[in-house]
Amino acid sequence: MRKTVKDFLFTGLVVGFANVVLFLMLAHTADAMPNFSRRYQTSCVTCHSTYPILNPVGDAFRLNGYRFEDDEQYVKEPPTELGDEAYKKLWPNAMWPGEIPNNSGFSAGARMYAEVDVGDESDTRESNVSFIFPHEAELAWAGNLGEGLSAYGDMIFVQEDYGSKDTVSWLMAKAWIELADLVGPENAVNLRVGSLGMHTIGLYTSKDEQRMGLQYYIINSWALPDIKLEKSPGLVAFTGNTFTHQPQLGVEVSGFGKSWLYYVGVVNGNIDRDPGDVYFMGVGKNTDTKDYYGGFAWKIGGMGFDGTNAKTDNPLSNAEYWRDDSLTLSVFGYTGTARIEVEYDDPAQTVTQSDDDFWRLSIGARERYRDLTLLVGYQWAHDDNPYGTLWNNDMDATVWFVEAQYFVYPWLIPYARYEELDFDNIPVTAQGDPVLIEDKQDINVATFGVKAHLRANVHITAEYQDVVDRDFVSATDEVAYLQLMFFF
Amino acid sequence: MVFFCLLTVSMPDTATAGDSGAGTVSGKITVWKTKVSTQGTKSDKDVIVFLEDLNGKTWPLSDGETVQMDQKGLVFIPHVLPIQKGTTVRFLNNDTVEHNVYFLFEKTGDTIDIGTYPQNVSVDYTFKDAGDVIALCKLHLEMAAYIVVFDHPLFCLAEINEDTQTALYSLENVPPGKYILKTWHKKLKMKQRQAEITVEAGKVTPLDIVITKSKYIP
Repeated sequence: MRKTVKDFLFTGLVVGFANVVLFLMLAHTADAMPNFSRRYQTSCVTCHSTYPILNPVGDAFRLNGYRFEDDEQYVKEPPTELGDEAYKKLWPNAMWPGEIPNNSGFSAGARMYAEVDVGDESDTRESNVSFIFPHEAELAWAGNLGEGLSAYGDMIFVQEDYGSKDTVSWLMAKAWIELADLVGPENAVNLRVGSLGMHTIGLYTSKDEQRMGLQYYIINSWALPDIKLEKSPGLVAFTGNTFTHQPQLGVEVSGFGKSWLYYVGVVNGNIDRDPGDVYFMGVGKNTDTKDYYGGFAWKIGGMGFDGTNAKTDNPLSNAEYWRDDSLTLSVFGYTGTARIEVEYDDPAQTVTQSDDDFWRLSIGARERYRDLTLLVGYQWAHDDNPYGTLWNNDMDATVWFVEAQYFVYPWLIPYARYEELDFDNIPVTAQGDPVLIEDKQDINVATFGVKAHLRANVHITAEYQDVVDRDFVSATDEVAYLQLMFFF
Repeated sequence: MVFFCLLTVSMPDTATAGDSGAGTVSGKITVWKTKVSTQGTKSDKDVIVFLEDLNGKTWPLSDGETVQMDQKGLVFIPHVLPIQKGTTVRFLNNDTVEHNVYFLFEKTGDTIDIGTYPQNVSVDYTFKDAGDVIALCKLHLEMAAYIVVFDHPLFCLAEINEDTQTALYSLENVPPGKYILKTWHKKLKMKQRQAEITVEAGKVTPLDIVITKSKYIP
């Protein structure tokens, strides 16, 4: 049977590849939208400090449904009307007028990867140098569809190399539509339907879509250790809790003001471990239960979430597009029920099903001061019964990270990150021997990198990861990555 | 449509506007072997025609004059602004976003950041030295304007017509004497590099100018 990416990611069947942490460098979402550059005839840096990272102007633009306040002052390509304004006065006897962007609204880009196994972990990689050109090719569209309506969509084609063990390709897509200002004050209640969580499943201050480096944050990407079938005689297959902080399909309500923003959503959960080669990201199996999440962020200083200008006593102090002296605090929680399935080769008990009720609670902060950004995050995790009838016990985990980024020049940004993942109550026998999964899945990772812009829409990132303390072999340990990325 | 270049010259004590003691220099500017786009907010349509004095005159500083440059729709308006040294430029912000004003002095390579300001806040800067200055905004990298500072008031701004690729200019109230006529353009140079002219009182000195790319200038 042809292996799918989920086979690699969730079952750990690749020899020596630790699947407990999803060491992914995938783009969850299109990292930049140059169609907005065209629409406003403005540079990428109007909205991005270094794409994909949004500066506060860009964040306010995104939150406002992909439009600026007093947008008509800045649009250089007026939209195409789907009805004159006057029809508002004629409704309900006429169609309410809308609009669509006059340009295609499409943006495209690609990432080229090179991987160099500096540590020469030959057990995990076939070749010490891998060229993955391209690693991803993306087509995306986004825009404001007139008053109170915005939409986004993307298709990301990925090819992965997995240390040259195997080459796998797949196409994942996302799409959502948002209705803004449903009730109450402006921006207080917005409804989004579709692929949720690109900016909201996880801490607002450490979103993977806004990461500086290539590797995802472990706080977002880690997953429960998977079962090693060879450690469980009679076990044919196992479907566990596949949850990671990634986009899913559902419904979300959000709102924001100057200093605050919130988001709450409901999603299917039970992310499909084998969605095929073409799929909507985060597609999950519909069961009788849904998963729920909610997050909140509070910003002190800097430009408001609503684009309200920061107060500046000294107008000479802060004139760079990436600066926004501020402290942002965030909290995020997720609760859900995962369907656990255990399949035996014993005819007496072929498949058992049970539920794993779980939650994740994270707190985080982002401090920006002049050219320096500091990020921290901490997460508690609990699963009532992640291994179903195989173990019947609960399990806990904690994750934390710290990160620093610094603008040496507008085009040159070094960064460093340290992360730890610790599991508690790993399945063991009465004698204390690990069962079911790899011996230990705790991991400490140090990542160092530098990003350099050749242009506002073209950059190179060089990154090195050192898995500082681990008891299993990681395919990303002592590997240097080089990425060339461009969008247009 | 033909565009005219109008000039108000701050005259030295020996002459006043309309005085028969002053002359006029005028003519047609033609774009040669290339095409100038006049569309968009940072087009290449602007040409400055100016004179360099060969008569040893000294010109007083601009008498406290203030002109405006706006920042609106993420654009500096105007895109090209010729001024005499001593002129104060008032930078307005009529956008709802903050703007920054940052100068690059081309002659020296020096830069000055005069600050970041919210809507409806303006900032003044007096240009005391002659030379080309590029005004930028650090928050919106596509914004740029050219402020060309002269020692004297003998300059005028002409706009090239997209269809004809020509412009008309007229430098009026020029004191009699010998001058070198030159042009300033973002990208194009005067084909003959410069022209020596003699201005006579009460007369028009005609001079047609050709501007082109540097590679076509012998």
